[in-house]
Amino acid sequence: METSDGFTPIIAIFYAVFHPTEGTKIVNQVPKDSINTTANSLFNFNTIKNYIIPKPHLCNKLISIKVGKYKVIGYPVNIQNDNYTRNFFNFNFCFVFPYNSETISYELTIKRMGKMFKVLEEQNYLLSNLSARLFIKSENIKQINLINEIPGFKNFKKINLSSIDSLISQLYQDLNNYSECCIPLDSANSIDIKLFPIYPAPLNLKAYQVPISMVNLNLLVDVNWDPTMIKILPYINGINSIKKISELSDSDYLLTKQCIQHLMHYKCLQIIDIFQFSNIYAPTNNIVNFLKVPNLSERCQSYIVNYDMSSNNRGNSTNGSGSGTVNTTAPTTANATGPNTGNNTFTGVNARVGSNITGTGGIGGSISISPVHLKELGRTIKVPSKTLLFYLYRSLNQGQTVKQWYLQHKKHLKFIDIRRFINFGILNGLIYRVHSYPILNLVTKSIENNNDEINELIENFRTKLTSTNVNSINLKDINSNIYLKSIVNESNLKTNNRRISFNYQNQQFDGIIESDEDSMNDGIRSINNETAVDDSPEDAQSIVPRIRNHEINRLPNISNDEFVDLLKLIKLLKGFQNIDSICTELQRSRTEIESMLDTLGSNGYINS
Amino acid sequence: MSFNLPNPSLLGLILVISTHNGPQLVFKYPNNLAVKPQDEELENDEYRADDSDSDTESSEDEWDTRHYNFYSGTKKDILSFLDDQDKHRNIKSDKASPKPPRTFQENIGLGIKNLGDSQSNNSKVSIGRPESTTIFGIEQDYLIEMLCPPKEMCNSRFEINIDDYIFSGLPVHCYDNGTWRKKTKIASNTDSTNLDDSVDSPRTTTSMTSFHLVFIAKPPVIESNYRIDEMYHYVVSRLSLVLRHEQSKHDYVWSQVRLISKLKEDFKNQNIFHDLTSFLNDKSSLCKLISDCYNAISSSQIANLSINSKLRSFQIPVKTEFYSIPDSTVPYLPGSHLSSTVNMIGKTGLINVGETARYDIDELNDEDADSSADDIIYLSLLLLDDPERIITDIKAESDSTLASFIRMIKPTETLLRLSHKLKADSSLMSLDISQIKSFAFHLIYWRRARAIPPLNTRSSYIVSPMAPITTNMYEDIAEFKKAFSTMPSLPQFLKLLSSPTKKPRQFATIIPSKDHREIYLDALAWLIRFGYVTKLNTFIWLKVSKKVKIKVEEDMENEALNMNFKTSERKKAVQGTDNTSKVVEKPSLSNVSNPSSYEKDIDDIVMGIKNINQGPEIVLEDDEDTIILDPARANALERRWINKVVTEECKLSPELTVIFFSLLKYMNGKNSLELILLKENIPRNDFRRLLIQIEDHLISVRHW
Repeated sequence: METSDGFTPIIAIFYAVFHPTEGTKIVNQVPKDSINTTANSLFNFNTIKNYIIPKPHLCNKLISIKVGKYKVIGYPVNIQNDNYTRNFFNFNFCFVFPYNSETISYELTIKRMGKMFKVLEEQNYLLSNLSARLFIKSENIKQINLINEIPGFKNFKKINLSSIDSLISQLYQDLNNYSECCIPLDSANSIDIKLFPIYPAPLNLKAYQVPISMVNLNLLVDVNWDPTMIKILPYINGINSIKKISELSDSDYLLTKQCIQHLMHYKCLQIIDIFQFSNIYAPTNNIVNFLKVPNLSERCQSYIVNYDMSSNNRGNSTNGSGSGTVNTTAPTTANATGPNTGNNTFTGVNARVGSNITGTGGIGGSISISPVHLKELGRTIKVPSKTLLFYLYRSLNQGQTVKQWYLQHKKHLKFIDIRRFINFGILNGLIYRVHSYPILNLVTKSIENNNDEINELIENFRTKLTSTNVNSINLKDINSNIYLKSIVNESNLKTNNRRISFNYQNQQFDGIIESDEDSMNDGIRSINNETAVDDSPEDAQSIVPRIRNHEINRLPNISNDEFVDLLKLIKLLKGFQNIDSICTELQRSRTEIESMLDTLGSNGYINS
Repeated sequence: MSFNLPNPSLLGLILVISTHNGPQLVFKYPNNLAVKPQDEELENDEYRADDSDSDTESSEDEWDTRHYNFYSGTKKDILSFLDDQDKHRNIKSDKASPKPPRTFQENIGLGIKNLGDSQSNNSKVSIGRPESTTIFGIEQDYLIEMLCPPKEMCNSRFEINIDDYIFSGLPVHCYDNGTWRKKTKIASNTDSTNLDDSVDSPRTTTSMTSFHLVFIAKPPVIESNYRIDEMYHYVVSRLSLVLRHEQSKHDYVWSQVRLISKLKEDFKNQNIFHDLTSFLNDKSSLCKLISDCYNAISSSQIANLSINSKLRSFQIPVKTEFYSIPDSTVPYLPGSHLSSTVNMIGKTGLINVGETARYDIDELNDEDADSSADDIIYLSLLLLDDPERIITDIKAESDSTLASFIRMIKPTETLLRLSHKLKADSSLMSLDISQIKSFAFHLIYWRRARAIPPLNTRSSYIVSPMAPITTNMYEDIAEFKKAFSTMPSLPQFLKLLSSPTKKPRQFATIIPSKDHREIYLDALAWLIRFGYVTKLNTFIWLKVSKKVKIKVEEDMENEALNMNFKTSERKKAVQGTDNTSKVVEKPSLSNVSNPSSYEKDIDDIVMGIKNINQGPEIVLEDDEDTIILDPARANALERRWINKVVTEECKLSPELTVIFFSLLKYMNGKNSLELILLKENIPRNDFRRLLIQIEDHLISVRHW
């Protein structure tokens, strides 16, 4: 049982006071007689009396108590004042809900309302004045009435709180029917309540994640919007990653991230991954939904169909039809560029897209196409059948990239926009992205053996850099800033110690070095072997400058920038980030990253 | 939501009783309940500028993958995050002494030791200070009064929220006749296991009229209902009922209460213990169990409590089993297991299945799934820890049936097979299948084992999409190395399982030789235990091609003609089940033209005519095939299709036809072929022959 807005309906509202002679009692309630001390009441009021008006110490707090099948939420107010007959006045506006219902949205407003009435009572005796003779010492009544008179306004009709009965019944009606209310109390005060749903706190998003809008974000913008939010809006298109959005819009990355987290918090966005033809997707157990969930397959058909408007690249997004819900402009680049051209590279996908991609949420059963587009086409578009679509989804698997899959199923994909096809599957949980995690054997080894092989490699690169780079100022710069900041901080000392030890030679290893000569010819790979030599316990002084020189000479030449990137890459590898994350962070294509990985030694991928 | 992460939010426990002197506080734990929890201060500094050294003060929570803070808020960019993580690891490794291999238990629960430490630290600090009289800012005496509700509210769930603090409990009130339980039992005097208690018989009316063990929690607002329900259901109510039982049988609570008040006096005269709480914990079993309960539950551990010298366990189950991947924005415990077999036992209440959506708590999607908990015998158990360790942990006798059962468990054998083995070999203990089942349930519920399809070299395994690569891999590489020093490294092994160029293959293909079989299976078990790997299952549906459908239709028309039937109804039926829906009509061209120019108008008309000729025709491709979703509930027409497929298209031999029809009900995409094979006990060969013969009429999906 929920109201139209999804809030738990209020079962009853009552206003209770501490009666000077009768103790805690309900003065007004709605619906009438729902709570009393008889059997046909919601619950026996006497049972919870002491929780409705508790001891003064517990007053002025939000208190909710479970009684029977119900939950009573109230904000008991206690005011000490000599004007009152018992020197204090207690009241509580209580709301009754079914137990086990979600009432968070109400709780804050109940608290606020309680506080407001407390102030009004303190200032104007708003509540006690209604039955002044009971609550207020007779000698003070006159004096109190004077307080309420505004000088010079004696002849004006004063709006006053006429009855609590009508107040709470209006609260009851309005909140249950409209989830909001606006009830004037007197000339200056009113009860304004609007219930808001509460969502869980935004989750930390990753730089490589791609937001895709579920609503037309442009329609939401108003003057009060955050400038960053407005700046990033045009770039949220279901293709750009968060990092990319922050770059394109020239906004701070953390601010961008926060904006997107907030948009997601309000369900304006969903998160997908960067679409690339080198991605791998596989079906989930929810693929069944495609066959079962009503309308899902129809929605899919209308979303993924490709109008192939490669000729129309002016990006005319004005939608001719009146509906305006679906923007079918996207002549997606993914398909236009095809897997043969821009594929595999991270930036390849990022070409022009149609305007707002409304996701599944906005799509009705029908397709609306602007006449402009129709003019430029002269052929039959066959919307793929459901069985075919299901077959295509299920044919994705863990061991095939989209490119391979495309080539294999090309003949069925003529009218399918592949990017949309994949996105639809992702958003509806039919398929999942199999992420690739590059692994560097050196990293694994240094973790397994708990040593610093990886840092030695970095050192070697640095030495190489020093020897090749004449520009020592530049290098110093790197040394002092980047290195100190970014390499594993504590290892710095250790490595320095080690470097000192290079100064004296240790002949005993020469033999081993000679025998290793062959493997050294393999180039960089040999680093592994040699560093394996250092594994021996007495290795602190074992590194011979000769080996180092040898190693260093094997290393490819790199520039300063490359070195910086290499450091970043190693860090990301040690954090076991996936390839999307690495590409995004280094702003390089996958092929570039792969070649960098090769410089670092043997490597591979885990596809998870 | 973060429901997948354990978050008991338990702040403390208080035991209150009411006597004719009014309500009184007996014991509270931890002692310093006045102190506000630290969480609150954290909330405001979620967003920190990226400049510099603020990370030194980042709290433990942010590095704890079991804590929501790890996932929420706006964190720094990945590079600085990794830097911090590295730093954090180094600090930790400097502190930590060499420790035993990580276990699944440690994986999911907070380190209880740390918690205990901080507790004792806190209590040391409080030495000398007068005992605080407020509990979270509320005057203790008034609060106690509120926590002793009138009789009408007793013996049922009690809950009061005061601001953000939730006090939840099950107040137990004695009945008018002085007994503590509804049904007055025949002279409980006979039952006197505890000699000390026999002095005061349970029926002597004590002055205590009610007792109430209150759990104080402060969960995040958005989850508060859920967390409190969870705790009430699993711990609060159960523990209170046990206490009531003990009270009714042995007057346990009251005698302990008297003991405690005596001890409080004694405390002043002794000088061994520095603070009252640890003194009470040492001397009173009730205090001890309350403290133990707090320590375990607040850190999501299992509370093994000794209640009147009987061992009882309580836990809030953790969610480490998933049947589908959570949304990318839903946090879950790293190392969680993903498998559709979870669906099978998820409904038994043995395990808490993880939530997958961010906003709605979704129910298990197949209410009608025809699998039940009985099917567990076709699965095998994967112990989440070393068997001997489990045996000592659950305090089972080393030679008990349970212990020997635990030792017998192999992840490669189904429980059914295990029972056959036991039957065949009379030298082993005797255990019937129902006992095995209940042992299995026990181990699963108490986080000691996981039900998985038996490990098999013929099955294919994939790296789970929920594999904790970014979170746990760093530590696990070393653990894996320790456990399997002769095997390829963990990343290497995972790489073998996930070749990007080949479809997932049988596990056997990566085992180098027969001698390696055992250890590879062991390693596989390890990987499944820590959530890295999951099994790929095959699910099938029947697919009816257009050809078959036309044939059936022809047949039906013939029949109709012959029998002079009303054909119209049948036709309707045909249309109803056909997946083809209405053809999308060609959108009409609404040409909004400008009437001012005559020529333009003509142009527009010309264009319009052209457009009509050129306009793309949008047609829905007809469905060639129909997929039968639930063959067990097929309608008449579908059944005819199926028969047609069996008899004419595939021409199955009689024995295969029998097998086919016995398997038909499983062809609904819910039951994996692998499990069907185990369940129906069909010879593998026949099964394969059948599948090959009907291959063209099947559509299969492979997932976990």
